[in-house]
Amino acid sequence: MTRTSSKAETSIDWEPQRQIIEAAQSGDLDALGTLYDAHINQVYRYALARLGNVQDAEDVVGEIFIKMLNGLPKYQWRKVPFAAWLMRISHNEVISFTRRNGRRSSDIELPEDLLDRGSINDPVENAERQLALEDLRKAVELLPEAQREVIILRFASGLSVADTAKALSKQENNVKVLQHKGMQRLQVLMSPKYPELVQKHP
Amino acid sequence: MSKTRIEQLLQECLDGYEAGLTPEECLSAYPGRRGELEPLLRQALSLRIAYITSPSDEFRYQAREQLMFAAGRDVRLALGREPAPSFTLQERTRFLNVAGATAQEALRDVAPPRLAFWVNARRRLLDTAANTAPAPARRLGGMLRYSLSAAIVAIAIGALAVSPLGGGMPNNSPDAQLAALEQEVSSIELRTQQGQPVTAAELGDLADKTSLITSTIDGQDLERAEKIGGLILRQQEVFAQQAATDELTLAVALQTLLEAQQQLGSGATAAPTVAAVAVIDTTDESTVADTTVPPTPTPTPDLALVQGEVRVVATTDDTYGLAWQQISTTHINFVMPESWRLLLDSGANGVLIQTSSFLALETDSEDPIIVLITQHGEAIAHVNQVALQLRGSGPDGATIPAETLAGLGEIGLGLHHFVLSISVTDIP
Repeated sequence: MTRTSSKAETSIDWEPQRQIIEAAQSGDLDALGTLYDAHINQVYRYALARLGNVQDAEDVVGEIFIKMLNGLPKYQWRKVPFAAWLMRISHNEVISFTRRNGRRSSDIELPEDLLDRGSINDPVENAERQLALEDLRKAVELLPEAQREVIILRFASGLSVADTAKALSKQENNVKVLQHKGMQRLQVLMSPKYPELVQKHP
Repeated sequence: MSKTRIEQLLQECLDGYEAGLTPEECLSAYPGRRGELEPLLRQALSLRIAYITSPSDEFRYQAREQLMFAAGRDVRLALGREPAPSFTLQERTRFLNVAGATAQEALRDVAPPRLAFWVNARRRLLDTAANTAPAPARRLGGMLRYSLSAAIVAIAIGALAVSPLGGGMPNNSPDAQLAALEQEVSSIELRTQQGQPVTAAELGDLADKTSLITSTIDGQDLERAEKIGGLILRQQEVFAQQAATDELTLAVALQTLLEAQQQLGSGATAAPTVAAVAVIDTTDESTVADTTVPPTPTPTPDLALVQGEVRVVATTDDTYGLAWQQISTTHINFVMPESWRLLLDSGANGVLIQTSSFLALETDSEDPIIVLITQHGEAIAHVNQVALQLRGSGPDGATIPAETLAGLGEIGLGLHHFVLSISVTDIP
């Protein structure tokens, strides 16, 4: 396995991303489409994880990308990842949506490919795993707001610690602490029913 | 090892997992830290898996289309293409024909002219030139009725209202200004006699200067009035000798001269204003182009509009990133950017009054000036001295293809949404 040190992270080639963003800012619709394609899953997963409702998530995602379009001319390229800026928009939009509409019932369904990911062929085991993951999502909902936000950005949207920090306007160390506390609390919440999630291998 | 270090190892494991490694391969890279790392990795992977989901293809497509539409894709695609010169010429010719037809329809009580518009106008000009007495307002109305289309009148007056009448005119005494004007007229006459080209823009500029000087002359100052009256007639003769090119610019200049002539006849010194548009009534000959009649105030209704009233309401529409306002009359509804202006005057109670059969719209740039026939929804724009029919008449009037808006720049966006928004509600 190749280790990716923080030093390596800082040497990421931002040029392609910068070029796409600047092209989109100048009205290049192909570039705009590229940005959309690159981030739709990220934004959708975040919205769905926060709202727990497909319909609401779809409504919010549409608004998020329109906000992105409107804000694009003001976005300033300072090697701040576009994803962090976009997720900040997403964060604000989800909060705004929740204030307007309240929180509705959760109806997240696991994707079909999830069952293939773990190479589990036993239908019973698959069903148990689905239930376990559903319980995990419910446990995430029980986390304090700050921890939940970090956990969702890190694991639902797949943002790095650095990007999560920028999206939430927090220090990276603060994000790490919130993530660690969140994961500890999840272990506590899950351990009675799913001890294997916290079991240490010898 | 600190918790921060564990977090870093966890991130490296997750990166490896994303790159295709199995959890076991990830963990095997850190044998000494496996006991601490494994439960974190298991939980982190569980979290990732718990949220692995993607939007449906249908939603993904719809959201993308919504984004592209908001970015003005359709219009930008259209604007990215230059129209063929032959197409521009064809549209221009078509507009001129349509403008004439529109005028005939608006003036259906009057026998339509059989001669071509410009030939007829030229003949009337010569008639006017032969008559040394200043033309009365009635004469002007009749002339307009027979020779100029309603649309062109609106464009002319609209352009007149926004044109810098004083541009380039030095602040000298009336006599000095008259002398300078006479010199310019003589120069133009000489060039015309020698067959040298005289542009419509030059004639327009000269007409503007003439109008400005006329507005400063006291009606009782017969000597100066006679002098400038003569200069007006000399300019009209020059007009009559021009080739029938750039008719619209010439029509604007012609209208300016006729207004100046009218001022001399009435003794009025006030320059024509935007209010002139509001009081043109093509259904009543006695009020045609009568700039002295103020709009009649109409009581403001609670909700329903009455004939002649124009309602302007702000909207939440933000198409193409613009702020839009809703315009309503008894016959028509449409939206236009808030930066556009209705060339209407308001009555004493602040209600906009429409006394003509059309609305003239001024965009946020110098042109186009748009004429919207409110009775049947036909819309015509004068863009860069080229006239385009934006929308046909009737509730289902054909709208101009987006391709035709090519070359107009950002104004094309405003025109596009404006045209599509036009709704004719009640054809009388």
